[in-house]
Amino acid sequence: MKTKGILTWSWIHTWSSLISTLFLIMLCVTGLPLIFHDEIDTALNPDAWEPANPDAEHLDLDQVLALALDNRPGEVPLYMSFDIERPVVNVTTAPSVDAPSSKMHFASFDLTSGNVVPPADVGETVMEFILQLHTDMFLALPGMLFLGLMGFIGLVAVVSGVVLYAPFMRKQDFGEIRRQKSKRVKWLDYHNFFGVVTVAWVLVVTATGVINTLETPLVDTWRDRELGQLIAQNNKAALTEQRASLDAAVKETVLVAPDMTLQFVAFPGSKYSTSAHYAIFLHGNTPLTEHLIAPVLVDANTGQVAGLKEMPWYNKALSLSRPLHFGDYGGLTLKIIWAILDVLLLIVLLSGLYLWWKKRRITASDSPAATQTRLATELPQ
Amino acid sequence: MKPRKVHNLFEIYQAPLIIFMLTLFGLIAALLTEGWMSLVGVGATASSLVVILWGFRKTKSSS
Repeated sequence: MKTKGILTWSWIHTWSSLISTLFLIMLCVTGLPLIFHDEIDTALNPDAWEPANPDAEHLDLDQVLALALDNRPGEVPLYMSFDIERPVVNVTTAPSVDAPSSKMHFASFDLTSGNVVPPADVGETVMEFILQLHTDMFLALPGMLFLGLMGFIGLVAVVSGVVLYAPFMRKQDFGEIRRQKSKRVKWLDYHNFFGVVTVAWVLVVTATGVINTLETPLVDTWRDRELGQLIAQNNKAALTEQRASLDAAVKETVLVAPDMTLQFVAFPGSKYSTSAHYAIFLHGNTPLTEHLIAPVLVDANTGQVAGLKEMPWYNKALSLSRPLHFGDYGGLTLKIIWAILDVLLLIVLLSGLYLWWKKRRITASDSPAATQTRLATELPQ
Repeated sequence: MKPRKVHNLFEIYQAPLIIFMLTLFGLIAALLTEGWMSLVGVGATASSLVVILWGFRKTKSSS
């Protein structure tokens, strides 16, 4: 590559990195504890919860729903989800169906007794703060989209960095660190080595992070288009006061898709449903399909199944991008690898800032001819 | 592009490309498979860390 080409790519790399680096550093720092969210929760809340009557028959979902609404008078149900390992049902309620997430209330119920399961919430405020900062910087959708943009610019920095790798490595062995040269050259070598070795992970985590920031518009599109079709086919009436049995609706749904597992229920009017249906979400049972969910709409007036609608490609991409971003699908080993790669990315970002700062101080006194000479000395002879 | 240039680029990007493919394969295999294949995926994802350890060792022994 000619010097002019190197300078152009260098300009792209410098500016795309400078624009996004501070935000990427924040995302790396906040992402680190989030990788171990479950382990931190367990460590801070060591008291193991036991069901009140382990051998008792489980309450049905209508009874649990009634208990949840008795505990929160005047509120409406939004979602119901199910613990995998414990006989526990979680119910989210809010003052209205369109209430913001800060107004929502989450409670867990023991299926063997109906008792409220005490929340394991030691340290939860801190983790919630970190999660919110990582997701949208407390700015809701605009914050999410802004971080998505920063992620995209970060991707440009990665690609331009890969292009620049070649001229800097022309006469150098892979993984060679020139420790005998200046501190700046040594850190340039570390930056290049760590950067190129972690590039696949960084691309995957950044790209899936960008996709995750589009969650709200993607869900809205799915709701308007796909659910809209189902509503058009089935929606004959608005929701009446008397709702059909939720328990019967869930049992009916399981019959429609016997090879799938119940994941959660979205109540009429909530973000993931229509105004007159229970949206009962199921997921597959194979490693490939367990991240892919499909909703079955059940008429909340009559309890009749309206149909199972597969998620469109963009929602499937969103579902698959979540585990690839969180790194929580390969046990603790993968989480540790994720954390080390996260720290390596932090080193790449900080060393990039350091290199820019040092270069800035040098070039402030450089003439164009001196810049070319300096570039020639930085590139291996 | 001249064959010599292509050869040089291949030399430079050969090792990074292998690590890239291994990591990518590892991330996807660990997600979409279970059992020993998933473990292979996790191992492949860790290949980049092994390369960094190798780099440190190499730098230490040459200095």
